[in-house]
Order: sequence, then structure tokens, then C-alpha cells
Amino acid sequence: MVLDPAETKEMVARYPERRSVVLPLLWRAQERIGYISDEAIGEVAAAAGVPASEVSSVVTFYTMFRREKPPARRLQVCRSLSCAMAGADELVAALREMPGCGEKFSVETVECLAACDRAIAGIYNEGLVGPLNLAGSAKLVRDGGAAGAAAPAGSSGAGAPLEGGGRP
Amino acid sequence: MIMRLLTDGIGEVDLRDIGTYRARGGYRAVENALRRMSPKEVADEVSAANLRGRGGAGFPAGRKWSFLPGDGRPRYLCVNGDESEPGSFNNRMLVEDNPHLLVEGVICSSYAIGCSFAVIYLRGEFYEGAAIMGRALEQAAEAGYVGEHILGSDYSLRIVVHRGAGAYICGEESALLESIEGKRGHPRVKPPFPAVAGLYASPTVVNTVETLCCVPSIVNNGGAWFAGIGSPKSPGTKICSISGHVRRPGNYELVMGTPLRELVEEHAGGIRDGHRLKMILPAGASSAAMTPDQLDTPLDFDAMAAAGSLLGSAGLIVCDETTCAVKVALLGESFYAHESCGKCTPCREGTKWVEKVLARLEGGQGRPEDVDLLKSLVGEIGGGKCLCPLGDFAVTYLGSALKLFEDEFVAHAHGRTCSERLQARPTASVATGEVLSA
Ligand SMILES: Cc1cc2nc3c(=O)[nH]c(=O)nc-3n(C[C@H](O)[C@H](O)[C@H](O)COP(=O)(O)O)c2cc1C
Ligand code: SF4
Ligand code: FES
Repeated sequence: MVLDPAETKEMVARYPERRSVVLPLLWRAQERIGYISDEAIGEVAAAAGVPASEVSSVVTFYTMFRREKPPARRLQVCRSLSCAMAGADELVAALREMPGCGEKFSVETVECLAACDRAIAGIYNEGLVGPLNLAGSAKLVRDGGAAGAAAPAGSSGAGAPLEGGGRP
Repeated sequence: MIMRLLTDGIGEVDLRDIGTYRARGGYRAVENALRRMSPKEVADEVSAANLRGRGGAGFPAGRKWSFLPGDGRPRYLCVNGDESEPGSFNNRMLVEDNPHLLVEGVICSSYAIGCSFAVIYLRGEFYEGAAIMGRALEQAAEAGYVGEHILGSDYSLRIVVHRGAGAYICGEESALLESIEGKRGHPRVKPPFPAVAGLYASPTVVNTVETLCCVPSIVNNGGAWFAGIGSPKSPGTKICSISGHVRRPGNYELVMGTPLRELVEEHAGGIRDGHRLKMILPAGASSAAMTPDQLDTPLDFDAMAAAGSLLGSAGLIVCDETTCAVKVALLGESFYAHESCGKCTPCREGTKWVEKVLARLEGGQGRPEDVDLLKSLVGEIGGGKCLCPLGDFAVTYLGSALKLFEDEFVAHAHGRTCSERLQARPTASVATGEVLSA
């Protein structure tokens, strides 16, 4: 059993129609075991009242759902325009040269994270990080833990780019 | 000119805390609406305000709300917080740093349209935003602003946060509804429009985060007051996200109609040292490029359209002279090829084909006929041939760049590549190898 039945029941009750619970329950399953297993798909399908094949097709449509357990340290680097202009390609290439890449940690690219003022932006495990430089992100994937040189990406204010302009 | 209507207090106080938010006059709009106004009166003020949708198209919110048929079916409000257009990051700021303003906007708007179930849809990558919004809703419920019999009235409202899971197309309003219904995010054939058959085939309003955040001040101050701010045909403020080769990237809330030049040169601090402006993509990767001679264009819906581009959600990407126009096109096209939902052939196949041609051009393996090939592909994919506007988005910048920077495409087609291409920031220590071996 991947999901907690009491919690599932409560989540189903939040929506006027049951099938809306598909994405919330898939998220819950991924939070609990790190990925979406066949068992999880079955449980979500039963709770939402839709065929398991349909839940499977939903899982493959959305890029954030994983069918396999990820490495403990996972860095996703934005490769869209503003981050590319800040050197995202070069950063990713350099990180992928590091020993342990693919086994101990992974470096993937993603599209714009709505944090372009913090280019190069990324997601480390489940938190937005940026601006990323090589030293900071290398430390992140090697040692994990607090983001170190990669400051957490709070928002920039309006009127003055409060934190947004914090780039050298 | 800066005017902090939606961003007042951000960066100064913790607006996530309901006590702080209320101490600054927060939730007064809910009290004003529910205690002193009928739903119709709230809707009338929003119409009088001429509040135009901030999600891109600029459609008047009051008019959209008026399309809901009154046939007894339940009505729904869905907040579009999918914010995925490369260059836009204003909604994330509102969600993370002023969550109660959105909750308040949702309550007033739901009351106005007669809805008792609202969904705040946030893109999956907003882990922190979803947690912050969840806490804000709990605080609002404790304070009696959300739930049964709000402020002792007959009006009840439930609000849920619904997270996406990585799909740009879910920002398109009908794909967003599919996603809330637990399905893949494929746009629906329109008509019927969401106002007639939206969530669960019921009348539904979809508005973006920033649009709904304007509603509390309209309720408090009146539609006429709002209509008097900024450009007469695009009143209010717009939070402009600016990034790329400027000194101070960030969000700046400006009165509509502020000249583009003021944003770029004053607020964002101008182009980074030693460089000069080449082009601006004012509405993210899907907008026609604007050039330095257009810097006096007012930032509002109509003036930007008249200038041949778009205000959109005001995610401005600024590129200096080191930026290769072909590389920008390639990056944009890879994005759209990746994000196409695959339903329409021109979009699914065309974006991949354009991406392939651009990749060989950018890499110096271009062929002389490639420039003409790209021009014809722009015509085949764009022009409203697809089910949703993503097909058009995918070739808008490219179409503009082929006109403005044709020489660069031609040079690439003859085997040349740019010497500088898209440069890494001089500050990024990408070239230093020492950390790699440590
Ligand atoms: C491909 C595509 C992507 C879109 N992405 C977004 C988005 O991320 N956020 C958003 O608010 N609107 C987005 N829109 C616009 C919505 O469809 C819709 O018009 C908007 O949410 C309406 O809100 P408004 O009237 O308040 O602007 C997108 C449209 C298309 C065609
Ligand atoms: S235009 Fe593209 S994204 Fe839009 S429905 Fe068609 S295939 Fe999907
Ligand atoms: S381009 Fe990287 S976060 Fe927007």
C-alpha cells in the first residue's frame, strides 16, 4: 500500500468530482516513495474511479512524475533563454563531467522555472535554487545539504529588484 | 512609473502572515464586498475598471465573467498559476510573497460570479508556492474568510490548491481544465468556451493570478478609480518581469503605459557594462523581437501590439549584441517542440522540423536554401492553423528574427557560426576546472 486510505478519502472529498484527485494522489505517492510505482497507479485509479491505463498515460504526459527512484541528489538546470544566456549549457556540461554523475547524483535540464531573474536557475531535489554558478552547484551535487553558494530562490520584489539583482 | 498596487510591502514585511496582511488593510475588500455589495455590484465595478486579463490576451475580465449562462449549473473559478512562458516570473512572486492578496481576489471574484468552489492551479515546480498558498488558505479559513457562511453571510466558498506536474501546455485555459479533471493536458476544441462548458462541463471562469490580484483594490476603491490609472484603454499596473543582459533583473510593477525605455534603462539599470542592446523579447520566447529604436513604446496592450509585438504577460528578455539571433530561435523552438502536446500535425511535426533546421544552421552545417525553408515553415505552422495558439507562439519570434536579422541566418546558412554566440556571463566560473576534481 503506497497511499494512506484515510488521507486519500479526505483528498477525494475536496473535489466536486472524484477524478480530479488523480494529480494530487500521484504527487502524494511520489512524495511517499520517491516515484510512481505500478502499485501506486492501481491505487490512484481505484480512488479516482478511472482505469489504470488512463492513470498511466497521465503519468507519462507530465514530466515531473517519475517511474523510477531518482538518485539522492538531483539537480535540474534551466536551459531556457535567460538561463542559456547566463551559461546554462556550459554549466550542465561541466557538472556532467564530474565523477559520480548518473549514479550518486543526476544533472538534468528543464525548461524555464519562472525564476529568470536568478539565472542560472535550477531545482535541487524539491527546491528552487539560483543563481547557480559552477562552484556552488558542484558542491550541491557532491555534498548535498544546504544550497551553499546556490542561494534559495526567493522572489524578487517590485520597485527595486530586492533580491533579484543579487548577481555580481 | 512605479506604482505598487499589488506588490506593496513585498520585501519589507512578511505578507504571508495574515496578521501582517490585515494590519495593512488586507481582507477589507472581502468585508466590503460581502457586507456592503451584491455580487452584481462587485462584477459591475470590475467591468467599470476595464480590468484586462494579465495572462496574455488582455481580454476584459468583467466581460468574460458576463458570459456565464445563468442556467442553474454550478459555476467555477479556476486561477491560472501555471506560469511557464520563458521570461515570466511575476505570478510566482505574487504567489510566494503576497498569497493573501490572491486569496482575497479569489474570494471577491467568486462572490461576484456566484461560485462556491474555486481552484488555484499552480505549476508543479512551485513547490514552495504551493506550500505557502496552502498555509494562506488555512489562515484565511481560520479567520472566517473562506468556508461556510463567510463573515456570517449566506455565502460559502471552498478553495483548493491544485498542482500541475510539468507541462507548459497546461497554461492554456482548456488544457488547464483537463488537468484539473485528472487528465492529460490537451487543449479542447473551442467552442464551447469555458464560460459555457468549462470544469466538469459547467460554466467556468479562468483568470490568471495577476488579474485576480487586481480585484481587491477595485472593490475597495471603485472601478472608476482603477480605470483612471495608466493608459485609458489598458488601465492599472503591470508587473513586468525583466531578465537577460540587464544590470538589475527582477520584477517591477509599473503603471500601464510606462515607456519600455524607462523599464530597461532606469529600473533594470540598463544593459550590462560595456555592451549595447540588440533586441528585446517583450512577452517571452513567443513574442516578436523589438529593437532599440522601439524603446519609446508604451508598455500597454494596444501600444505593444501596434509596435508589432505583444505585452503578453510582460516577461521581457533583454539581449545585448553578443546574442546570436539564430541561437535564440533554436532555444525557443526546442522549447515549443518539447512542449507541444502532439495533438495537431503542424505543431507536433513542424516544431521538430524547424528545430532540426535551426540546429544545423546554428552548428555551422546550414545549407543555402535553409533560410527560405524556414520562411515557408513559419507560414505553414503559424497563422492560426492549430487547435491552440501554441503553434503560432512557436514561430512568432522566428518570423520576426528572419526579417530583422536575416543577414545572420544567411551567414549561418553559408557555414558560418557566430564568434561569440550566446555568451556565458563573464562572472560564471564555468571555465575553472578545479572544483571538478576535488
Ligand atoms: C500555449 C498557451 C500557454 C499559456 N500559458 C499561460 C500561463 O502559463 N499562465 C497564464 O496565466 N495564462 C496562460 N495562457 C493564457 C490562458 O489560456 C488564458 O487566456 C488566461 O489564463 C486567461 O486569464 P486572464 O484573462 O486573466 O489573462 C496560455 C495560453 C496558451 C495558448
Ligand atoms: S497547437 Fe500544439 S500544443 Fe496546441 S493543441 Fe495543437 S499540438 Fe497541442
Ligand atoms: S529562463 Fe531559466 S528560469 Fe526562466
